[in-house]
Amino acid sequence: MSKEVLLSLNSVSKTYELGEVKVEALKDTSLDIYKGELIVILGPSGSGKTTLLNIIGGMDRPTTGRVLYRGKDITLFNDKELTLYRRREVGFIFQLYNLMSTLTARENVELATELVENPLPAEQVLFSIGLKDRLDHFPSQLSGGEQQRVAIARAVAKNPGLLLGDEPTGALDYETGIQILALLRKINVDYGATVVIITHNVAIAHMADRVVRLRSGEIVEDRVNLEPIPAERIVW
Amino acid sequence: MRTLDRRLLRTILGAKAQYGAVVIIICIGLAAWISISSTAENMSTALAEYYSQHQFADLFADFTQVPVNTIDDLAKYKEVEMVEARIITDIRADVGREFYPTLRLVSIRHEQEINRLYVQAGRIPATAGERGIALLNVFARENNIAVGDKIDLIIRGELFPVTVTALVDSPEYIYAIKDIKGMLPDNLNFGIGFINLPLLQELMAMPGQANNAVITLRPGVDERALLEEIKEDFKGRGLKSMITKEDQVSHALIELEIQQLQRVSKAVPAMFLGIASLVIYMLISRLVRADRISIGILKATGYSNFELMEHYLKLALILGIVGAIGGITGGYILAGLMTQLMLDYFHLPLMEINLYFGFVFVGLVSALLFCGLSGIWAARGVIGIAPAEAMRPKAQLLGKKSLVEKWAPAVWTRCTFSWKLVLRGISRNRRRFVLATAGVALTYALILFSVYMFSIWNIVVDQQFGRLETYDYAISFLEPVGSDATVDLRRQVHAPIIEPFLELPFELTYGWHRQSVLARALPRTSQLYCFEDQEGNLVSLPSRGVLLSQGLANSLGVKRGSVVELSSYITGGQSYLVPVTAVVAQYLGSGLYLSLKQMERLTGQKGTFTGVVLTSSDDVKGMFQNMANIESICSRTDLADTFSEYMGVIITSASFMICLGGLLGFSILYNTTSVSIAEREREFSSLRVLGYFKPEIFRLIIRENAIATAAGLIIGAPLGKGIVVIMMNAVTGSTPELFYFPATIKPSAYFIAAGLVIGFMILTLLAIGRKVNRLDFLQALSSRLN
Ligand SMILES: Nc1ncnc2c1ncn2[C@@H]1O[C@H](COP(=O)(O)OP(=O)(O)O)[C@@H](O)[C@H]1O
Ligand SMILES: [Mg+2]
Repeated sequence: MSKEVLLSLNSVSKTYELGEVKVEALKDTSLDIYKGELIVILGPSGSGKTTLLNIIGGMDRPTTGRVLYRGKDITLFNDKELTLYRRREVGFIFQLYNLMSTLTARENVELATELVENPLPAEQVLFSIGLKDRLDHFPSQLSGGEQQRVAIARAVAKNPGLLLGDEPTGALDYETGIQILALLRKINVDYGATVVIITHNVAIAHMADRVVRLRSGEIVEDRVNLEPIPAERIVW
Repeated sequence: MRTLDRRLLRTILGAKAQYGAVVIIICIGLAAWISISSTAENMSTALAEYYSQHQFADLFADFTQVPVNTIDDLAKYKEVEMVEARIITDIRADVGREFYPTLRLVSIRHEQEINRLYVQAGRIPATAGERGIALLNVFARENNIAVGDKIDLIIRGELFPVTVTALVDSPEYIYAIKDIKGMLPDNLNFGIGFINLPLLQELMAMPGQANNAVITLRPGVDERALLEEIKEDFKGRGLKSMITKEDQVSHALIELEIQQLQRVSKAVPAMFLGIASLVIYMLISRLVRADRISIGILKATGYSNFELMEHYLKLALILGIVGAIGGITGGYILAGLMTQLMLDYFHLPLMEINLYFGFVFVGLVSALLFCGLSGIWAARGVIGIAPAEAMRPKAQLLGKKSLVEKWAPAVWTRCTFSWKLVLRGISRNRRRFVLATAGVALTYALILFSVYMFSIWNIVVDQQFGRLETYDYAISFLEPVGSDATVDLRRQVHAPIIEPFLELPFELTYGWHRQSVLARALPRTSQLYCFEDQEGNLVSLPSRGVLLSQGLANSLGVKRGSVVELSSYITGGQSYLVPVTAVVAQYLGSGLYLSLKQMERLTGQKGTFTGVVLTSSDDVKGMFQNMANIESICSRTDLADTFSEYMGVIITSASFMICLGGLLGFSILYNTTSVSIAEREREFSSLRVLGYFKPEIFRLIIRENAIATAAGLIIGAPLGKGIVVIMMNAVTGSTPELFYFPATIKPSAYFIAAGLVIGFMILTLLAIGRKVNRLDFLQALSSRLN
C-alpha cells in the first residue's frame, strides 16, 4: 500500500470552557491518516474520540495545533471554505442515523448528492448496499439497520475522500452491526475511500488496517494491524 | 425541485392548520389594505369626476339681502370665471306628514352652470307656467315623495303649494346637513329644494335680490388670496361670510371620510402584518429549534449557513406570498363591494371601480417585507447551531438559578418544591416564557381594544348628553326672539328649567389659523351646560373671555390663556381680542362658548336670543314642531340616536376587524401555549417516569401559565392603551372639530378584557389537559430525534 498522507494532525489540542471549568478533551495530539486505509479509533467513553473526529471532519476547530488535509491547513479556513471542505471531501455517519423523517431513503441520499459535482448516483449506491426495495420508504418504515445503511449511502454517495463514522454500530444489534462494518470495508475497497471508524468496542479493531487508542484525550497506542480480518469474522 | 425544498413543502403540509392560520392573518391584513385604500381612491376619483362634470363652485359667499347687481359685481375680478347670485333660505314644508321638515330652498337658474344638478327622475322645473320644485333625492325618498306630488312650502305662516318636477342629486349637498354643527345627515327632517330664482324671489318677497353667491374661478388662481381680496372689497356691501370649497360643509365631510379611510387603511393592515410576522417568528424559531439536529447533519454534510437560512426564509416568504395572493384577491372583491357601499351612502351617482396596481404592489412588498424580516430574524438561529451538534445526543439544558432565587432569596426559601420546579422551569427556558408572556400581552391588548371600541360610543353619548349637556330639548328659532319668549314658552309647557341662548357666527383667527365658528352665548349660571377642562376640573363661563372645545382648540393650536381674534358681520367686520380662559372637553362637535354678557360686549345685542334649551317631560317636540318661528327642535334622545346610528361604515368595519383581532389573540395564545407543551413532552415524560401523577404535571403547567398570564396582563395593559391611542388618532385625528374620542379606557374594560383573556387561557389549558392525559411517556422517551 502506498503511504500517501491524506490528513495529518499536528499537536492538536481542544479545550472546552464551561464557565470556570475547563475540560481538556484533546491534549497535544498528532496523527497521520493515510490515503485508502481503514482506521479504527478506540477509546472509552469521554476519551475524546468524538472531539477528534469533529476536528478531522471540519466540524469543529482545535484550540491549538494544525490540521493539514492534502497539505492545506484547514484550521486556517474560514467558514465558507470549511463548509466546502465538508461538502466535497468528507462523508459522515452518525451513531443515531439521523435521517430526515419527512424524506424518503432516496431523497435522504439526494440531499447529499445535490451538493457535489460528481456524486455517485443515489440509486446505484442504495442498490449496492442492498436497499433496492426500499428506495421510496420513509425512515419510519425502515429498520434500524436499514436506516443506518441509508445514512451510509448518504455519506458515500458524495464520493468523499474521507468517510468518518462515529460509533456507526452503536445503536445496532450484533448481526446488523457486522453487516454495516462489512459494508464499510466494501466501500473502502470498491471506492477507495479512506475510512475512519470510532468505537469503544475493542473487537472491531480486528478488521482495521490501523488501530489508534485514545485515553483521556491522549493517543496511547498507534499500531498497524498486519492481518486485518473480514468484518464477518468479528465476534463480541 | 430540490430535495430540501421538498422537505419544506412536507413540513408545511404537515402543519397545515398552523401555517394556514398565519396565511389567513396576512390575507385579512392585505384584504383590508387593498379594499379600504382602493375604496378611498375610488371615492376620490368619483368625487373629482362628479365635481368637474357638475361644475362644483370654488367659492361660496353668504350675503345679507342685497340687489343681484351687487353680487354680479364679483364677475369683475379677472380671476373669476362665473358668478351665480342665489337665494338660500331655510323654511318648513308640509309634505303630508304630521311633522314639518325643514327644507332649504336653493335658487337655480334654468340654464344652470354652477353646481349643476344631477337629475335622477323627472325634469328641472320650467321657468314659466308652473310652480315647480326639484327635491333632493334622499329627502324625497325618506318622505315618500314622488315626481308629480304637490308639497306646501310654509313661508311667513302662509302655505305655498308647489309641484315636485324632479328628484335630483347636487354636488353641493352630497352630505346634506344644515351646518357643521349638525354633523350627521338627517334626510327625513332636513332636505333641499331647488326652485327657479324668479319664483323664489317672488315667494320670499325679495324682488331683484339675492343672499348668496357661488363662484367658479379660472384655472390656476390662488383662491385664498382672492377670497381675502373680495372680503376686503365687499366690506360694508352685505358680505356675511365667504369660504372656499375646502370649507364647504358637504365637501369637507366627505374629504374627512376619505381621509379617515386612508388612515384606517394603513393602521389596520399594519397591525395584522405585525401580528403575522410575530407568529411567523414564533413558528420558525420553534421549527429551527426542533430541527437542531437535522441542521447539524445538513451542516456536517456540507450545507452552508446561507443555504439553510434560505430554507427557513423560504417558508416565511411562501406564507407571505400565499397570504398576499389571497388577500389581494379578497381585497379586490371587497373593494368593489365597499366602494359600492360608500358611493351608495353618499349617493354619488358615478360609479367606477378600479384596482390600483400601486396598492397591490405596496401590499405585496410589505407582506414580503414583514414576513421576510421575521423569517430572517427567526432563521438566524441556524447560525448558532454547530455541525457537531449532530454528533451529540441532545444537549442538557443548563440548570440556571432562577431570578427569584437570585434576587429574592427570602421568597425562594418559602416556595414549595413544586413552585421551585415551576420557577426553575421558567428560568431555564426564558425565551419560551417571554413568548408565552408576549402572547398573553398581545391578546390582552387586542381584546382590550375591542372592549374599548364597543364601549366608546356609550362613553361619548353618556359624557356629552349625560353630563356636559343635560337639557332635554334644544329649540332654535328662525328669527331671534326677545326675553319674553321664554315666559311664553313656560306658559305652554311644563319646563322646570328654561335657559335662552344666543348663537351667532364668528370668524375666529389665531396666528395663521382662521375658522368660522358658531359662538353660543349662555347665562353664566347655566344649569343645563356644564364645562370641564381636559383634566376633568369644572370650569365656569368667564365674565370676560371665551371657552373653546378641545377639538377646535387643537385644530387652531390654541391653548388656555391664548388670546384669539373674533370678528363677524354683526360686529361690522370689526375684530376683538378675547382671551381663552379654558379649553373644555366636548366629545361631539365643537364650539366656542361665552357668557351673554361677553356676547353683548362683542355685538351689542342684548335681550335677544336665537334659541332655548329646557328640561321637560312633556312631548315638547310634538307640541311645538309646527310653530311658525321654530327652525328646529332637537331632543337629547334624538341626538343620541342619530349619533349612534352614524358610527357608519368605518367603525363597523373597524370593529369587525377588531373582533377578528380578538380571535387572532386567542389563536396566538393557543399556539404559544400548546407549542410550549409539545416541546416539553420528553420533560413531562421524565417526570411521569419519576413517579409524578398527571394532575401534578398539569398543575405545573397551570402554574407556569398563570405566571405568564399575570406578566402578560401587566405588560398588555399599557400596550392596549397604546393601540387605543394610535387607532383613535387614526380615526379621529383628521376630524378634531367633529369628534373627540377620549382615549381613556374605563377600569371595567380592563377587567372585562382580563376576564376574557383568562377565559381563553382556561379553554386553552383544558384543550391541553387532554394532551397531557394522553401523553404516552414511554413512547415519548424512546422516540428518536429528527
Ligand atoms: N461541547 C462540549 N462542551 C463541553 N465539554 C465537552 C463538549 N463536548 C465534549 N466535551 C467533553 O470533552 C470530553 C471528550 O468528549 P468526547 O469527545 O465526546 O468523548 P467520546 O466521544 O470519546 O465519548 C468529555 O469529557 C466531554 O464531557
Ligand atoms: Mg463520542
